[in-house]
Amino acid sequence: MNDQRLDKLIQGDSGAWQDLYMEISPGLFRFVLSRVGDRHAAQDIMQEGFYRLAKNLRQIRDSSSIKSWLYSTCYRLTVDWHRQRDASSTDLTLEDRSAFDPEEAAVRHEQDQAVLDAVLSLSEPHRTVVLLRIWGGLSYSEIAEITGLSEGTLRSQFYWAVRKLRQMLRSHCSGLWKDVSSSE
Amino acid sequence: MDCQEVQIELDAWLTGELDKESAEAVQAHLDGCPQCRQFASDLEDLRAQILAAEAGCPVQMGSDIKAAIQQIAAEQRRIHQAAQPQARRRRWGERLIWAAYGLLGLALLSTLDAPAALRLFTVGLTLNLAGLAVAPFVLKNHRKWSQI
Repeated sequence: MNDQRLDKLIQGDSGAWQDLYMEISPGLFRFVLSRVGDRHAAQDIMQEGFYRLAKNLRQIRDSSSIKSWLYSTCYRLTVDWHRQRDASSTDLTLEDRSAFDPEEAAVRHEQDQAVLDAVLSLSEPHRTVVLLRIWGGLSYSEIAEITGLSEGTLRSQFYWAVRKLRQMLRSHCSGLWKDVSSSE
Repeated sequence: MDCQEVQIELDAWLTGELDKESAEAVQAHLDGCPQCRQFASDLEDLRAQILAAEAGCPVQMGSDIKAAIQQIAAEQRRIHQAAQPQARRRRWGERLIWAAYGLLGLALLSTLDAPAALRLFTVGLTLNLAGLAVAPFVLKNHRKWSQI
């Protein structure tokens, strides 16, 4: 398969690496941050993810799978990070959530803030599937490979996460969320 | 499919990840179910809201990681350049092996009228050389094969 982007990355083309980083790193960083709640740890994990990508680049078949490869690697690194800290819970505390830049929160749209708070307050499996789906833009099959869960389980988790988010956001965004509780 | 089953499939349906049969079943249910159509609409709104929340969430990463990316690119360049002569040597090695096979094939053809002993000797020589050519590849991969 002729994959010019992958060839350029293998050849160490600075521009190709920079483009890849610019394209993937913002979403990936937010995803990692949402799992560890610590900016320095998130940076270290993401950096390690890119190092491992460089090391394993020749095993990757085409450039379209780089994104899910990086998410998968960083996901495993966050699991290791929690294991090393012997964390009993992977849910984010209020302090962890403040890692999402509290000084910027003042200028952020109130509704965006409410949505972000609601997403970050989800339990770890629900938060992971929502962020990998929506921020990561990954398919269920890609998330299944990353998390080791079946696609059916992931769809179910996503559904329950959406229900929970609707419930939480109804009070903040009453105009947006119509009351359809009668259907549930 | 009941409402809950449909709503579980809705996200994959919206992104076109369902197989044809499941997608048609979801569509058929949606056509007759205003509650599930509302759920689908809410789901699309929620997706947009979460994406908007992402856009409003600045990344502000340190310059360390940007420097690290430059380092990675430089390291890749070094590895790639170091691998080039090796790859060229390997390509030439492969060409020589194929040329040797070609010559042996011609030698075999030329011994069609020769005595049986000479034919046997040529076949044996060919098989031995083939074994030698394949040996490095087998040695390199035998561990991987033994795990299968």
